[in-house]
Amino acid sequence: MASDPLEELRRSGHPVDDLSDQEREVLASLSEEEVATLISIAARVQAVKPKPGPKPEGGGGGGTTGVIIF
Amino acid sequence: MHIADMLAIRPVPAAGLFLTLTRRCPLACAHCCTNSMLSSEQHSAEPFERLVDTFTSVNHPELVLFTGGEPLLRPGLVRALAARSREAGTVTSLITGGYFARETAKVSTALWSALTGVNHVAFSLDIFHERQIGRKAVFAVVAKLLEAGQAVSFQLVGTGAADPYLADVTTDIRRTFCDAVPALVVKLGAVGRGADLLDPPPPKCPTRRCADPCTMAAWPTVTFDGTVVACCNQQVVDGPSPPHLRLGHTAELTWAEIAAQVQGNQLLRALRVFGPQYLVAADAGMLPAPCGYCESCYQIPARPSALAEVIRLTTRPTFDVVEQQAIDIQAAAGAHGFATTFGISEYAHMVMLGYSGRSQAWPS
Repeated sequence: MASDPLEELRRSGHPVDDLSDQEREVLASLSEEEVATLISIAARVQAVKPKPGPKPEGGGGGGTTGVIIF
Repeated sequence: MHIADMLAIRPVPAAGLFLTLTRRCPLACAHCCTNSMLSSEQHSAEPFERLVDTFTSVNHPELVLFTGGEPLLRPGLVRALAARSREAGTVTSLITGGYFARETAKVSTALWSALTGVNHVAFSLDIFHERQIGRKAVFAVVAKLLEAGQAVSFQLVGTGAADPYLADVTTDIRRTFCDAVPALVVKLGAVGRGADLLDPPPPKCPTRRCADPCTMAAWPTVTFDGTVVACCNQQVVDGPSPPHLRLGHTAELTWAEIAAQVQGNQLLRALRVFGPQYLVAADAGMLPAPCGYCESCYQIPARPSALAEVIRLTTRPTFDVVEQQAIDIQAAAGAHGFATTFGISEYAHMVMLGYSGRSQAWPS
């Protein structure tokens, strides 16, 4: 388990405080790897919001090839 | 149905379904990613009809997208599938190259019926299309459709943010349609005949292991012959698809069974949360993962360590929560986030033009 999953998620901008107590309880039991996963995904989303700044490494399906785009 | 509503649910597993109705196309665009020609493969309507007939009011995709080739070479099939989908509560969209716009005044009754029988029409427009069909002719058809109350968008292709063609065509679209018609602006790919125009981009190679979800594994695709695959990558659609992405054939599957596979298959779930490179990097000493995002996915079946990693990650008691959170986070980025990630980010704002809130055509 991460040292404090809720605090780590909150710091990354995850709307932890908007969740129900039950949902927060589940998130509090996430492993470090799971917390890191959600933080990584959130960072990608933050990076594509309309504001200046670099994109994170990778780019999800943006790195795919030959895609029917939508 | 505005394109923003469609793109907003792109991360939701089995919310959408692609039907590639034909590989044929009367145009001969130099960049065509499907290598389409008028003599290309086209199978019977049965595989598509059979699957859509299995939609029910309680179990159906929210959205079906008719693509090709040129789906409007089969206007009767488009109209029939759209009507049947609507009965079940599914909305429909088609993408067309607009070959019929060559003679604007002569859009046949059958074509018009197909164009207005779906909830959204997307027109492909780029420098290659314009060599065969004038922009003014396409705009005239779009204007007619708007008058008829149809939702329309453009899918524009260019070489990048600095492409002067994109600057010109987006300005023209905004001016002509008073910012009422959106556009998804994407980069020319080295796929199909596009590979003759471009060198493939260098593969993206992560320098550290971090989750990079695959959105493309969320909506299944029925390929030209009725094969169902879990991904819309053109190489997967063209086949042979890797075994973990082949779901079966419409001859043997109902929509409920396809949706259950897409939503429940552990490997697909892991791909949508962690991405292929994360799974392949489970090999000892393989950090960073082998280069290439989709290339890594193709390697998964041959890597027992990647398959073991799928089991380890998806059998945790908290995986359901992580998966739902991953979907929610991506969905929150909405259509603009999708257009930024998968399109040319400098033009991502174009996808929101004319958007005034969720369409009433959308199922509640």
